[in-house]
Amino acid sequence: MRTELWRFGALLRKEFIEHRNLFVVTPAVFSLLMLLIGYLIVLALPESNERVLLEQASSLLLDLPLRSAAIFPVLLSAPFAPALFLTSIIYLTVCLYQDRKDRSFLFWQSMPVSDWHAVLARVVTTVFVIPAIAAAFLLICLLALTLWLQFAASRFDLPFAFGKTLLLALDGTVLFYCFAWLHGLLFMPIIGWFLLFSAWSRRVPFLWAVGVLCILALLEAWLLDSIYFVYWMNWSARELVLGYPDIFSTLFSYDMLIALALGGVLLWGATLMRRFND
Amino acid sequence: MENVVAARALEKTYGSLKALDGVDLAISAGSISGLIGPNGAGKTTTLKALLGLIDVRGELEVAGMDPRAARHSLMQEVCFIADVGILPGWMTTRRLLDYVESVHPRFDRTRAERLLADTDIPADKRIRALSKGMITQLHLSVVMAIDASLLVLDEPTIGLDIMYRKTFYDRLLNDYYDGSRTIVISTHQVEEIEHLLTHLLFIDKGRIVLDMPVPEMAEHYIEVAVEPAQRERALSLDPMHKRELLGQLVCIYAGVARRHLEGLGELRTPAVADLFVAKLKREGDHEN
Repeated sequence: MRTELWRFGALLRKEFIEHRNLFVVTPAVFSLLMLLIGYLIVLALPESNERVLLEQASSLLLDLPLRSAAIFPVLLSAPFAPALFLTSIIYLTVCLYQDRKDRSFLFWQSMPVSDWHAVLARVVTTVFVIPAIAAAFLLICLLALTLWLQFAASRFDLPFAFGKTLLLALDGTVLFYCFAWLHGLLFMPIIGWFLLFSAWSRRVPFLWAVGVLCILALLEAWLLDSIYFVYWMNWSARELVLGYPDIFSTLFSYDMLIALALGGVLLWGATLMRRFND
Repeated sequence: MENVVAARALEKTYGSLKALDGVDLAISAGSISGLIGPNGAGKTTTLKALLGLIDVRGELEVAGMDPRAARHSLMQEVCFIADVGILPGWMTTRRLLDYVESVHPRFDRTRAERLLADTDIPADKRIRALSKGMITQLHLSVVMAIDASLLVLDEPTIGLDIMYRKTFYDRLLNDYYDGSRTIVISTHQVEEIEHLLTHLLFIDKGRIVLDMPVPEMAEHYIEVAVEPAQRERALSLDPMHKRELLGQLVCIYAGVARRHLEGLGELRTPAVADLFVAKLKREGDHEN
């Protein structure tokens, strides 16, 4: 007997398999780039500078308390946030549009899966699955860095807190994942907005989604003489790259409540569009 | 007999175009109904309405449910195949079976695999790499492994060569239809399916212009290949349609008793395609 949860899991598996190139390739390329840049920097350093750098890194890791040292993996994970955002936006733009374009929409609609579940599977994929894959690649990068530090430290006969660094790598990855889905929930209006246009537009859904946003911003400036909309977009972008808020206070904040309510309305619109957009 | 589909006064407009203009339908359980009409007549719109894929005005009940309110529940009872090529090209056959098995409570994977074993369809090839005929076979195998009460086929064999078309309908009749299931087929390739049908539905300009069981049709409509000497008498009986065929007058009569027509020439049941043309011309003449 298949439970509802099992069926929903099948929808998530389907989303992953259909878009696995996008989900895996983008963070993989980012990881490779990060590792390559790190390697090139080390290669460019004279051996004496490399030793000094290692000494400083090693003593910092040894001396700093675990909580304070946690800033290192957080800083290292920062470049992954834009990659995650890019992957999510591309996915949200195509996920409800592509199956209408290739007409497989009719096949999916012939299955006993409600439109709400179909849309919800896309939301869960965006908020939880894509960040999980990015976090896995971040962990690989941090582990590679830890191994390199251990190798380099032993080459120069320096003490190195391998266990502590390993713990920091795990801690940084978990923190990155938590912030990623927290931002996903906080940006629910953006998710709903892109899904709405993905379900509605007959062509170029990305241009529609971004174009209408620009028009709304212009209308606000022209009619209301305010730029709150632009301010909100700017805040969102900064928050995405630099924001590491307290998880629990953000989760139960008014901002979150408003974001989920507005996102819910847009997701409801996306469901209706998927249902009746003929 | 119980109706699987009951629709009254269905209406659907696209801008200024009336795609459905008061469609009434009653499809009984166990029948094989042919929804026949020219391009743009409203066949696909009607089927989409039955499947809950579009919003329509009017009363509608399919398998005891309103498709507009309960599409996903309805899909446990109803299967459909649109024209070829709607299966997701990125999936492999195996993944397609995995997916359907996961989400459809009435799907019998063993049966699907047994049906596929009789074909040349490889399990690990992407669907986009298969030929049109194979994709249709695959879709039919999946659908035949679902224990549904109603199967809706919308131009299922369009674009296929004659071998695949014949195989498709043979499999449908031999391996799927058991007298308890209901099948609705929409097509304009009437000749291919007329031997299957138990019920005829002609649609034109968004309206049902004929709704009749096939045995009743054979009683109600008679085609006569008129003897040259009987030409004047044949025309005086007001045929609904007449045409010249190799120099011979062929007339179709509606509701005229057989005994009145005997002696005019060879009497036979009209082919569905001929009756369809006759009916549509008649409707057109009435409108003019």
